[in-house]
Amino acid sequence: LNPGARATLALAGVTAFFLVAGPAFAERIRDGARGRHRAWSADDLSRHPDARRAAELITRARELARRETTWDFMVAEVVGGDLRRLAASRLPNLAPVIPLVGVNAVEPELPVLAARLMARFGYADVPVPAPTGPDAWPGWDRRARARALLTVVDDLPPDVGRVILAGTLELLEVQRARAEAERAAAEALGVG
Amino acid sequence: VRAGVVALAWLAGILAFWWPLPLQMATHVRGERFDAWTTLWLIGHVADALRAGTLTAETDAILFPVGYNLWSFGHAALQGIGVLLVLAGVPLIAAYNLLLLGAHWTSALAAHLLGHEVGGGHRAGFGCGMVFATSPYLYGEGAAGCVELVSAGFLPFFAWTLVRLARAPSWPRTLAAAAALAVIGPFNWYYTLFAGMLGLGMWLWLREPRMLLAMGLAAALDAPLIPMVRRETPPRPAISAALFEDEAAWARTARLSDGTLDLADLDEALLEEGDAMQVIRNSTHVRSLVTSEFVGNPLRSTPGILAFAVGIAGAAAAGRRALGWLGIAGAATVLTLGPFLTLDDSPPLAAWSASLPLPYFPLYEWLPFFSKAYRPYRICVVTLTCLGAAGSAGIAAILADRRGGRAVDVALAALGLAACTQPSWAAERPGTTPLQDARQDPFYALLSTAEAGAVVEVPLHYQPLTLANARFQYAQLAHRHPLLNCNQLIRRPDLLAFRDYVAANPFLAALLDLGRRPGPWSFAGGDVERAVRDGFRWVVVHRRVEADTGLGGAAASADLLGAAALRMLRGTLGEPVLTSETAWAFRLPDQPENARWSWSDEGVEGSTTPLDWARWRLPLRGTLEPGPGARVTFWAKPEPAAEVRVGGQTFPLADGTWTLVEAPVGVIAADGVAITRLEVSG
Repeated sequence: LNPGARATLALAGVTAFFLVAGPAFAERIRDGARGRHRAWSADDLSRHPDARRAAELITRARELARRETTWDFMVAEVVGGDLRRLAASRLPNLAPVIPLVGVNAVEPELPVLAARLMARFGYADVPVPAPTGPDAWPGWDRRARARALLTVVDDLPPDVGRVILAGTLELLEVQRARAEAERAAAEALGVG
Repeated sequence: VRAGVVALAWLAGILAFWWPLPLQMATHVRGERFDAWTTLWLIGHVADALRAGTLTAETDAILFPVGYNLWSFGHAALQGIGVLLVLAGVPLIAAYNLLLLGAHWTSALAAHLLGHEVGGGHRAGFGCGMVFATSPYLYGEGAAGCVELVSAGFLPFFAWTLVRLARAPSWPRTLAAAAALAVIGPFNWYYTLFAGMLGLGMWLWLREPRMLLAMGLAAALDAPLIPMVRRETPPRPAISAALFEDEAAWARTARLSDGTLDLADLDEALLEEGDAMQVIRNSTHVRSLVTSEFVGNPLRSTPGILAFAVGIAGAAAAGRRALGWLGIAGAATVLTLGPFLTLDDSPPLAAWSASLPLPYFPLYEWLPFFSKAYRPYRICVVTLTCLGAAGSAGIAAILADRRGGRAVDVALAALGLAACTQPSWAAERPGTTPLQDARQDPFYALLSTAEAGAVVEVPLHYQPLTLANARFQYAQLAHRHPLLNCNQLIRRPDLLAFRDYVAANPFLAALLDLGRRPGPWSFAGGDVERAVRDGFRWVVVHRRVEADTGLGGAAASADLLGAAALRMLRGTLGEPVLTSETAWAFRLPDQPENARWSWSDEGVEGSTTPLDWARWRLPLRGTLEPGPGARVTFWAKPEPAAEVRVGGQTFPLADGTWTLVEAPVGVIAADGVAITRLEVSG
């Protein structure tokens, strides 16, 4: 082969690598990073360095959710803010996670989304909470939101994402229980 | 004439590369990280001091009253050129931009020179220049403000002298090579070390003994600079796999970088640990390497797809003549991977990785001076030099074959056009990020006329967390009062000195991280008095804060003071003496009225937990029964509405900034507005 032909072949090879093989390999690396933690159980999570703090937050969320308050968003935000600080203690640039935690309280589709995300992180057997809250935000582009959240969570280190999502689902569970209790109380009073 | 055309062609290419910066040279900078603001301050400060005849190495214009040694900045020669430009009458911002573009342009010309020598013509020169000058690495460092790293042309220039020496050994060429290496020292000791590595690689390949002699001469010439290098960087700490595997150590380092560790908790060991972590955090990950995309973050930068494609294709065309270049490029690439192979940036280090140290590890541990290169990814500048040379050797081979000469012209023209416009279209398209307006806030002109005394800009941070915070040091040029804030606390001796001073005064310590740390804040009137005795007079609070989507990340909200912090400042210092649309300056009283303060929101009726960094779409559900005098405080940003209304009051907002809103409680009309830190009190 003459030099020009050799250069052309090499150029084609390198270009193919960077356009096809490189990105595929990079994707596998990302999957591998997730996979390192896929086998985690709830026990593993409890041994996580941040688990104690996460447990405190969840307890606090439960307390707040039990109070008589109509400020659902505030309950979610307290947890969201603290979870952000928790997560930030391990890795910066997690600000976008907050909407995930915050909007769960009032956005009906997000529990389902959260469950999907949990399944991605190996929590396939987590029961999906019933959608809660009214559709309070007309004009909200839910699909765009969901895509954004998926991207955000995809970029998180798996363990951090799991702590946050576990807290989120705990919170949703609390809210679901509260809604059921309220409904039962209303039925008992004959006003349901 | 031909050389002039080449120089002009490269100038056009560099201007295209940094587009649209050339349109706003006198007002804007590409300042994606704190380094740009630090460099601007340094050039401006030295020029001002030279004009006034007051230049000293030690200054308390920043890090007041501890003081800072200007030699600690390093890279004195390059900053000196910037100072000369300012002294010649070039406005500071334009001088900084000229320095950036000039450094890049000369880098391209130096690479062209190497390619011309290796390939024997300007086409080969263009190939080498294109590979070297249009890499994501140079863009990332330039956009970050590390101008001294953009002046990377020293490496191809040194390689050029070595190639000439190897081809026709002589004493003049030996001395030229020695001078080319020695001159790098005052500009950049990183590149001095890297050029030495490149020189050793070339010697192993070409075996010309005078190369070693030239490097020895250069080392002797640069020896007097070693104490300055030692001053600039404290001794590097030991690294180990165990440290990189330690999750708790990663968490501590993240909190240190995030500025959330308590100041009093900082100690030498913890800062050494943070410095050691820099080694692996600044290593190239396999994931970055296999994609080699055009990214804006210098830590993820690589030589880039184009450099690898042209370099490897050139080596394939040139055959044995380019094997040496390819070998050195490969070795340098392995060194960029740092002490251990890391697939991506997910800490901690995997166990399999920890058991496989890379060559960088023993070199860092045992080779004297090598540990100064504690940011391994920067070694890719050696890779770039060699890939450029290999590319030009290949171009020469194709041209010598007398087939495909026309194709080379077409390919070079197409690749050149694509290469010089990469920031505008490739991968992350970092060139489309808005430029930073570097004009000083007119508030600082007001402050400059105020009573003498040092300034504390709040929130005070011990790390340059956000762009808005990093600009405080640059603003010192406008108000000219000494300033406690300092971007250079990334150096651990200075951070420890800052800790010792600030932690000893509870009032100053209360100003630390005031945007994020909740109260209570406790200090005595004597603490304020002590600050005044030390020379402080002003506390500056910003009512408009740049919305930071880059450097700040999750810490971007750190600049936004909450209602409780504002109450504490007003309660301590009274109403601000200087006010503008963008900022307030509180005057420190000589004799505070109260003997002791303890500020806490606990028990304040009706206060709420702040909404932290959320984007709420109103209306919020809820009921509110405010007491008399109840107030609402929040920060708002246009998305895209240009105003927010609270009750009957309208508050104008500015694009790209958070604006502080304080008003009596009322219905908030904020459609198309992002709101954060909403607090209701009373």
